[in-house]
Amino acid sequence: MKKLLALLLVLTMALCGVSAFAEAEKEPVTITFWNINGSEIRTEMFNKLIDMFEAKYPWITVEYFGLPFEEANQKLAVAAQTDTLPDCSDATINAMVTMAAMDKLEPLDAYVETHFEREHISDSFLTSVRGMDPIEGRLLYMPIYAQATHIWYRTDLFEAAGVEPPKTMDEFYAAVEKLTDAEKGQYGWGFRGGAGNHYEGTILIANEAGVDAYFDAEGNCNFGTERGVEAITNYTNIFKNGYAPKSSVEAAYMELTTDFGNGVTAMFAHHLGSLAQLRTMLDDSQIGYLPLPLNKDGFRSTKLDPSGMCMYNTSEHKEETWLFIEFMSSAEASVLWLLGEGGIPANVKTLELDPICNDPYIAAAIEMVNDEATHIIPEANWLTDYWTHRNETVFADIQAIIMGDKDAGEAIMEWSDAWSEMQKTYLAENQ
Amino acid sequence: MNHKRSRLLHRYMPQLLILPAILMVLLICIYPISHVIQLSFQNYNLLKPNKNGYAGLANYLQIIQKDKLFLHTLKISVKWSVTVVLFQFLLGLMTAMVLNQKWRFGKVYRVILFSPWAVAGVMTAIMWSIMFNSNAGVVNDLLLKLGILSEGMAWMSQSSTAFAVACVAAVWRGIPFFAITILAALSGISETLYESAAVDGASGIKSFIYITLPQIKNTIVTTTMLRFIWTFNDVDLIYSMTDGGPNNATLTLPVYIMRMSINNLNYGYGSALAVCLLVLLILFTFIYMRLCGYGSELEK
Repeated sequence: MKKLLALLLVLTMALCGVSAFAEAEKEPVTITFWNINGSEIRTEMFNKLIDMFEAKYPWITVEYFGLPFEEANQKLAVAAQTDTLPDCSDATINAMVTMAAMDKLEPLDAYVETHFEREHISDSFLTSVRGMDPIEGRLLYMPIYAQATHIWYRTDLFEAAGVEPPKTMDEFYAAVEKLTDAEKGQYGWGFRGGAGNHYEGTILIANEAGVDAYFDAEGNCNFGTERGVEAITNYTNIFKNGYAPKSSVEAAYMELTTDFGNGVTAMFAHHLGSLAQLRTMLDDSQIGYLPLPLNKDGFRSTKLDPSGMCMYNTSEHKEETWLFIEFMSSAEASVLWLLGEGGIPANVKTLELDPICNDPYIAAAIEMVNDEATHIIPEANWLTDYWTHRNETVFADIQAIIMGDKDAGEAIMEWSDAWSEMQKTYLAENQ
Repeated sequence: MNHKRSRLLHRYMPQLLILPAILMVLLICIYPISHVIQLSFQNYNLLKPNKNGYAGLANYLQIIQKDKLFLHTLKISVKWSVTVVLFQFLLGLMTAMVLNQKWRFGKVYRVILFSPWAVAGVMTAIMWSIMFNSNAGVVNDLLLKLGILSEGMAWMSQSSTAFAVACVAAVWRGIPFFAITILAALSGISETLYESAAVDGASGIKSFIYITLPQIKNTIVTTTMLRFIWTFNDVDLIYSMTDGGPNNATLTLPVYIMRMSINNLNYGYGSALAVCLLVLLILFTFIYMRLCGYGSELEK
């Protein structure tokens, strides 16, 4: 028996040796990875993930480069134009729309079927990404997590004011008013009027207006209705009535989170992506997760933006790049993504792992998304001019409305007309 | 033979000496400008690669007929440049007049007063943005303590105040340029002119109007023209400070061009806007120099 055991041990060691030798024999490969939001938290997260990947695949070296978020789209576009794109980058819908329009993304449909955790990858996430390419339905990037817009609220401020977390839009506006005490420098709502004001603005308007799809079958935009006018008027009146800080016109992401952390505002709309930032300023006991309040029709509309990893079709190391993407979308790696970024994981196995399985915010987000009353509105990412219009016109219009330079109703009708025109052109070109 | 070669060399020496400079200008100015002009007649939008190609005058027609922001940004640019250059010039002139006097530690004062010129545009923007921050800014703090304001003011959230704050930052940064150049011109004026005027009973103001100003006229024309062009083309300060907001109240034409080209990746349309800007500035330079009679003394 002892001899048999010894033989087995020798055989096992020999096999391990052969396997290690085989791995050592693989030619070293270097792949490049761009992080399109090189913030401190994300840089730290990616460095850890890359270390883990390189330990698992020692013959592959990942060359990391972090881009400033504001310039990422431009840098990617210039790189695409000059054929200097990396092998892969992380992917947000906004950036991927540009890359898809320039035909620089490698479809991952065949790769994903070989994923070693394929059975755990949510099909609804894959479908959501395929929606970016409605004609061919290709999987242009690998989803890893998604963000759904909701409201953060300060539990301590609510308690002090004796206000219950609102469940309907009427309750929401009442809470915003009740939580405002301008003399104390406290406001009910953190109004995003600066950069990115339309990200949450349009979804809050859609929610109140009862919009659950951008367009009807003929391509008419569903925002340009009486309900839409009423919703945008109510929303922008939050600022006009003094329930948001006067500096809201210039308030972007950093101002929103800082004001919330400092107790200047009691609520603001964002997603789990801001959780890591909020946790640097507040205890979990002070941070409350509030699903978007229900509208008059009894449902809520929110958007679900999948983010993840993409491979560029100019890559000369597609096999190794896929190994990196596969690893990054594994449950083991998704845990780190979620700790850094927040979000709902595409790989459902992640939800079984510690500490994600105990995170109340991720659980709350999943509950909101799976709630029967929640309608997910896909953004019109297939329209090339859609984001340009939002970044230019909608952004300026929201500022103009709250500054009293433009009528809210007029603005929403103009957006609706512009989006209808884009969709009708798209439908005509792709029939 | 040698004599002939030497004569030829002597004759064309000036052209030979200037040749490297001409080549440099061709390389770094003429080529990019001609490329921008060429792009302006094309649909060149990175987001729509399938539609790129020759567009004729389409970009220009869109600017003239449809683009409401073009006229708006042009007006803002003129307002911005005139305001900034006017205040920079007046304050620079005053500074130069003061520094032209004989002061103890005069050189130290000069170094201190000229230091803003060494600060980068982005740094200037950050510094003034912090000072005018509605929550933590020193300006609000001072005004509140002095009782001028009863509550903190959101300077960058209103069209008029955001524009004024950007102007203050730009003026602060540009004063040294005028002060240095005017000071150099002032030091070239002969003392005897002032002495003669004093003998004839001219007051200080009259000496300034009839001696100082005519003597530094060419310097004033050149510096204001250069500064106007630089300020008109200024991107870094406005982009970093207000990004053209709020509600496009500080959106100048160069920032608009940058938005179109760099942010929206529509290089064709952005190039057409840039060509319009170039033509406008060339026209301005020509008219301004004619109106000011720049170099007329040389012609005489």
